Amino acid sequence: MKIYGLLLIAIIPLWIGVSCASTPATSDYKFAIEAARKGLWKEALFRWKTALEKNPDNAKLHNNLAVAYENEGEYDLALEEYRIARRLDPDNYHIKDNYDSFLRFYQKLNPEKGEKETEKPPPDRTIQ
Amino acid sequence: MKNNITKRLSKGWFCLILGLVGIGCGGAAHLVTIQHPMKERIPPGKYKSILVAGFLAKEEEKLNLNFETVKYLRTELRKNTPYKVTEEKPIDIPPARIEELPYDTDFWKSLAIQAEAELIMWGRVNYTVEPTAELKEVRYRHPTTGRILTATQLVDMTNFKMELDIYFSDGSSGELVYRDKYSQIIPYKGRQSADLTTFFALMNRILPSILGVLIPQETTEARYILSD
Repeated sequence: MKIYGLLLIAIIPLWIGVSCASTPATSDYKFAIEAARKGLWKEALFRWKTALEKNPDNAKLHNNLAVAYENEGEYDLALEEYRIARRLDPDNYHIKDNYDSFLRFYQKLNPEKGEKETEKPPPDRTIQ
Repeated sequence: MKNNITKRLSKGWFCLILGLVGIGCGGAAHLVTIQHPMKERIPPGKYKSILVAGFLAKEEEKLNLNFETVKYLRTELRKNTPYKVTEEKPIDIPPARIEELPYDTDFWKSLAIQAEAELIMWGRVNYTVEPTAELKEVRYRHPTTGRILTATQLVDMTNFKMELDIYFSDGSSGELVYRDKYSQIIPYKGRQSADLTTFFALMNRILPSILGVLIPQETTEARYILSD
């Protein structure tokens, strides 16, 4: 009992720290989400870019930036951001879903690039 | 025994707290809609007038598909694009020549001269009705108890399918400028026959894609944005 109690006390702060370590602790992030939900995409784009400067390895931020680029018609930039997001967090269902939907659209838009834009397996994984 | 129960309880609380902390820091996904600006496929300003020439179609019992498709597209092009839409009697596309016709430059040149059109739209339309059945959940009131119950039932459906191959030929050179394929399915409950109402419903769904060849369009898509 005592062991579990001690473990709880030790692990909870550690867990919070680890889980939330990648959080861009800025108001930019939340503000951008709200802006995007209200259709203010230019504002959201600017905020996410700012947040990314502080957290360049945040997959969710790269995903959000890609969505904003899509809305602006900057499809090549969107593709680049989706790829970074996928590389940083290959198991994230929502990022994968966005990326797959975008690829379908992108390949229709640029049929000549269709062969090149097929999805690669996530890094550090081998196909059996 | 008591010690075992205390240990299990502690383990339970431990897992619950870890789970809650995990959820708290896991973030949320918000589904948003975005607009995809789409450029027109045919360069703007290159052509001023268009002739919707005709469509190869299997004759339906009630519908003259060639006539209806031509009439519908002419009306919509007039309403939605800056092109001058030329009026001519719809031509009959010979089924035997459908494969070679896109490359028969002389044919399209002569038609363009006759109709005084700079761009010619033509193609093939296929409108099919397929009876099908789907398993669906239905709610009903039990005759004795009066309770609302849910049951799975085989429901008769009809799939109305429209397939449209569209070609755009240059009036001055007769060469093929652009081609695309479109298809839509609308399932209806019950057995029904092909009629104009469903034809228009299907065409209305395909229309934005066709207009997108001639004028800039926006398509709506759903995406997830993620918060920490």
